[in-house]
Amino acid sequence: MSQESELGAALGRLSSPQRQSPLAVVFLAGRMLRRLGLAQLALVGVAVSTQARNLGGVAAVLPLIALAFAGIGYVAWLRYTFAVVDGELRVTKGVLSEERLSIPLDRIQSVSIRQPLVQRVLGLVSLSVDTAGTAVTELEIHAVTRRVADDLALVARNSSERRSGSTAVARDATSSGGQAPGTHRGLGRSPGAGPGSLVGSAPGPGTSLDAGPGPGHETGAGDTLELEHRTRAVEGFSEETLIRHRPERLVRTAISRVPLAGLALLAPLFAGADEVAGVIGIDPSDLDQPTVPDWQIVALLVVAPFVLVALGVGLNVGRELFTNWDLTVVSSPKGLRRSAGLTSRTSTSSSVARIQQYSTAQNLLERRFGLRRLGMQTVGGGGSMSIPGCDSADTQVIEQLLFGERPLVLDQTTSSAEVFRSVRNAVPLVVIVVAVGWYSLGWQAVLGLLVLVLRWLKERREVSLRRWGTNGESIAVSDTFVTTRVQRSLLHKTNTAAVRQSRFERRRGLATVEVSAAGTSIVIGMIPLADAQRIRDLALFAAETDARPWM
Amino acid sequence: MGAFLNEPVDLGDLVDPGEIPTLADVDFVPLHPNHLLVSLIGSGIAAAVVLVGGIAGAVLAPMRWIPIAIAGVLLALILLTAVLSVIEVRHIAYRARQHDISFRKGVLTREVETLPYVRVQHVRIARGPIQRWFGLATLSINSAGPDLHIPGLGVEDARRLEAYLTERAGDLSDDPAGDGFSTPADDWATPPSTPSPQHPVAPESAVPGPPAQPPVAAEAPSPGPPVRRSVLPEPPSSGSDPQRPAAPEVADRWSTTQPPASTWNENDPPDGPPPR
Repeated sequence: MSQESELGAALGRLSSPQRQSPLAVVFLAGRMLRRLGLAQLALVGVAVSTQARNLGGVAAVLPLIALAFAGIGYVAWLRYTFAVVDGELRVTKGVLSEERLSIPLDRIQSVSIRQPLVQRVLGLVSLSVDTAGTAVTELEIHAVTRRVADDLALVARNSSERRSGSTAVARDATSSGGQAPGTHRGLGRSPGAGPGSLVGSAPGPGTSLDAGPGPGHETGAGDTLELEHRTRAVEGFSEETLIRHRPERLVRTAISRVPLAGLALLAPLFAGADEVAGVIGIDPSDLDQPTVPDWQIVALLVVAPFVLVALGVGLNVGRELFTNWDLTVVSSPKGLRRSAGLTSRTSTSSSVARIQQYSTAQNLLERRFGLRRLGMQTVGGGGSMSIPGCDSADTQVIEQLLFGERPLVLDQTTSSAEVFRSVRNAVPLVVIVVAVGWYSLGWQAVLGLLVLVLRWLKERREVSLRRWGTNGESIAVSDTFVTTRVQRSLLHKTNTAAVRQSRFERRRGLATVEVSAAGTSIVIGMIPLADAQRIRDLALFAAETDARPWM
Repeated sequence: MGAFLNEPVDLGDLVDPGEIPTLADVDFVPLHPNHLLVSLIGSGIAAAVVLVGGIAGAVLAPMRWIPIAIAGVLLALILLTAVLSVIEVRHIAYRARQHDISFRKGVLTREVETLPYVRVQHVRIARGPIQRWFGLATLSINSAGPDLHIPGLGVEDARRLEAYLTERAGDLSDDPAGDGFSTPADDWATPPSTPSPQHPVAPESAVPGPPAQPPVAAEAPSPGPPVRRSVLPEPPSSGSDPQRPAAPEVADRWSTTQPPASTWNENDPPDGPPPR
């Protein structure tokens, strides 16, 4: 049977609503028990049985309880139906509450088929369906025949393939109209080029929001054509090394890190100091009555911090060399690949489209060395791809790859009312603590009010240095206290956009805007309401008109 | 290599402000009138449970003031929630446009959250027992980021909105511009490819487009959910596939063409009393 006819037959079988195997009653009742809390139920049972005079009566109730749960499980099974209609997987369920779920087939990320022991004995399987919508499984079918599970997996896979086919063509069309983030040809640095030298002809300005679909749309989205497109892309694209850290860069990176982080590794030594002293023949009780002169103790106290910091730096250097040895970031047709490591080499890859947020961080030492830590938050459980020790040339390469060449200037500020709000919010707690302190310790507790002064100074510095900006394609915000952190996202990856106004903001005509991508968000607070609304509208416009892939 | 330029740009020069539709100019549609009643009944039930628990605790516990104090605090919180619900009902509202759906809520902190249809992952309708009694439903729209939950919709509105959302999500994910060949600016002035359902869908305010469809009362008869443009081939007729097993005897609680014995049927009246 051809694939097309197999698919048609599967769709036909799934088109009418159907239930799970009756065996699922057991699983549904069990799930209900788990929701109620097995431990709590056991405790109640024990409590009742210890208090009850007639244990026989209690035992007689147990079958009734089991029967009740079986009845609930049966109703749950009866009301749990699923079908594939109009390109959607539709599920209804619920006993007291009714729930219906519509999952467009092309949104299904994975269909997982399992066969635990009970199902294996009965020739059934369990099935779970995931989308990108929630962290938990959207749909779990406990017991169905293998055919139903295979049918569902087949239609979901087919829909996903068709969708990715059309997306590939849309990507092609977009890249032909302007330089899209997904097309990073020629942006890399040549192997022999010095730091910061970009080679190749950088395409024109980044894809503007009003760039319509290119001629690629006219070619259609046929499977054969899509295959040809992909083959060409792979053949004509060689991997390019964007970033490669030599050992001296790693040493600089390690030195620029806070040395106290390395000291954390020494904590076990301090914890086991008595045992260590015992091993080398020192009685710890002798240390309470030192026989060394005072000046030596003073000298030790002066020297010890330097020694500890030096140890911390040494540990940082060792850790950096081990974990990030020969750190290489390569641009390939599939996206970015970061590989590093001395003894065991770790490689992390992500397509550019899956990167949802880009961030940089630079502490005082890193600023001195001209280095930054780059982070790229991706969709899924992989977390962030981190690239430490990047200089400005490295940063430019990555930013051009992700965001194109359109400049983004962070020149917008937020309202200084944030300083007042932050201090005001801290006042009640500080006053209570000071009052309690005065009552228990004395007037010296008033010094606790200095916390408010420190908070005011900190907030004033942060607010005065906070900047945000957008260039119509991406949005970024930077925060600085000791470390400068910048977060940047492409607007077309927006999943939701929200404008919020607390009473405090409303009185001052201010608002907070939150632009959320998949799993990440950029929040800019205390800006004029008109600016917040404009950012929201811009983000929605980008998400709703930009054909580039977003994850 | 050309010199790296990083000149300041003015946001206003990048995109014509008139090209971007503004949500602030759009009127929102209030929730079903029964929503407040359902919220207050929920608060009442919670208050009753706390009251009974407090009384039982006061009778049984050795130190009576502890359960009474706890119950008092909880009752005060429930009362506050109820008062906020009464205030919020004047503000809480939603609006579906051609490309996104927005929900406005909040009393102390007001919020307007918007989710573009192209980012919809799945849609869920939930109806608790009280909601069923009053013919209401909660529509949850899940994306890969935050989700949007709209409570207090009439069942018919929720169904139409669900059908419209899934249809637009499918259409727009394949072709964000809306018609495949038009420029985005054209698309903003283009109505959806499928005739819009009767729930309120606003055209984008800043772009000259089709005349706004006035909000339609929840009781208005529905022309039926729009037909989603499936990316899959049409299933064969049931009789043509010899491998197809006999369809199980399960009532279809979805299809409007095969009305089953179901509370979800479009033509069924709500479970409880008619809306006020």
